[in-house]
Amino acid sequence: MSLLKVENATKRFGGNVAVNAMSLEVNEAEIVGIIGPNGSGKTTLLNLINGIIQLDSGAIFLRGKPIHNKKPHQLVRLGIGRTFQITRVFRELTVLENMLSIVEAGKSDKNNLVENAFNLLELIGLSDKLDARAGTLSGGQQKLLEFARTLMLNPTILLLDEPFAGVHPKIVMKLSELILDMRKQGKTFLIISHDIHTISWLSDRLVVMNEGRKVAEGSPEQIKQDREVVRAYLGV
Amino acid sequence: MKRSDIYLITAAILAIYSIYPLLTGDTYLLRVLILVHIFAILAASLDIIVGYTGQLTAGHTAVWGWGAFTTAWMILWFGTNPLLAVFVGALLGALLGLGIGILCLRFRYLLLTLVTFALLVLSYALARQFTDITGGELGLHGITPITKNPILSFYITFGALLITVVSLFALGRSRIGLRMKSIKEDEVAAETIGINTVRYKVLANVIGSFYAGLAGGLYTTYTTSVGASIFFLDHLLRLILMWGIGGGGTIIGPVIGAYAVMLLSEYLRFIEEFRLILLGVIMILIMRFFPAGLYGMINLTLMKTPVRGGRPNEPPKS
Repeated sequence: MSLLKVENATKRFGGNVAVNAMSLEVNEAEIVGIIGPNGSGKTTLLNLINGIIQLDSGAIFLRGKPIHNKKPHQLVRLGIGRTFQITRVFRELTVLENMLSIVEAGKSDKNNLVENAFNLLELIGLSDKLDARAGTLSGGQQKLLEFARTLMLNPTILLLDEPFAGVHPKIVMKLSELILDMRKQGKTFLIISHDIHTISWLSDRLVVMNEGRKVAEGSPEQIKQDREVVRAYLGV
Repeated sequence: MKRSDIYLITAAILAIYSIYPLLTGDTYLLRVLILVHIFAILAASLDIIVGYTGQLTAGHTAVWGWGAFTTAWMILWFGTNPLLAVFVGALLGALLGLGIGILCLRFRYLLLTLVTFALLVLSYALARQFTDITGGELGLHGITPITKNPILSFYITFGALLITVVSLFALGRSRIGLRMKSIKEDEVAAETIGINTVRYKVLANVIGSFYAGLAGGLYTTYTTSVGASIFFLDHLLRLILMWGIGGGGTIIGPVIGAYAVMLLSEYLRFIEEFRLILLGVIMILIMRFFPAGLYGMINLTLMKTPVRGGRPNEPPKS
């Protein structure tokens, strides 16, 4: 059984069909990349999985159980973590406060939580900025902080929206290595990216979207050869 | 200046302030300070709703007013002990907070302000309409005070203020407070890290309204009367000034704001109606140059660190 299953998901905004009968499966400990031109419905798909917006039709399952009527905070408890294209750290809170503001599943001791936060911040190289306001960090550091904050939730599957956009190549490398490390620990990733090179290198499988639909799916090598993909990206 | 020095100075100021009523013969100032305590409770309680969860409510003085009426009814109709009646007023406030919190979940930003303002207008209309139970414009009189002794009244209201500030400050510093601040900054992001935003927003309303009801009860037992005028816009405007001048999102800031606004209002009586204009200008200047308010200014001067808080919330992100 796949970990995450999207079945004929459709979402309209007025007359515009943002996601059109989209189906997708993600297996445990798999890294799946979603690529597609701007406005192809990638972020809307993530918002649907994440519960930020509701489906018009279709269904979404996590470990075989329907989750499409659940709210984002309920999905966190079920193991879904999320980052955003435009980073959404709490700018007025400190780095450590950002990490501690999460609601963890089950009971946990505050000391353990602080220790966990410190370890994760050390991992991403922000442990020397515990008391810095998140808003004072660079864009790349904010991306890393948002990623680490999501890891505090100990999610089973991480939905990452453009994690490499506008980020220094060194941080892209760092994030990529982290993602691969996490996968080894059994984490699953669904990643939207325009950085074809990095996402192809990272992913086990790529899904290509255009105009709300899935136009291709396969290994990065297969996708690179796909005519439909070339047409969606280059319009030829 | 070191943090320990600040604590020492604060403790010294509090100690002098605490013995002041025993040393002074100025009962006028004592009476003003009692009202300051009551409004400071109201301002601090507003902060947990506006400054922490970013819900721009304009209905806080409505809760305060109904807390005052409930206390009056308990005393006049049931002969309840005034202290107990004040507590019942606070409970009624919490209940109203629950209702308002749930009602307002669908509204944000300016729309929320408008809806809650409508509640204040509605409260005034109801209080004027049902004169049998509210006394209308003339109000209810002869409410038994907690004590007639101004010195005791000072200590009772000051005690209530200390309890309010300490409990709200502790709440603000806890992880619950952290989550409330997260909601103020970005509700969607807060949901995606597991925060049940509905629960925390309603909780902030219940807690804030409990203390607003308490302030209402203390107000009516001190003034021994309450009428429809408690829902006048003046009170709301004054409350906003306290919150803004003092520095929202800090709990202590609005308390400092209450002292500044109430004392300035009292001692600027000679300029009559220009007082509110002057206070408005002060607030604009403070919000422009020191968004964290007087508390932020004090903190920056003494500790060289900026205070977080200030503006109620940022515009929504795309």
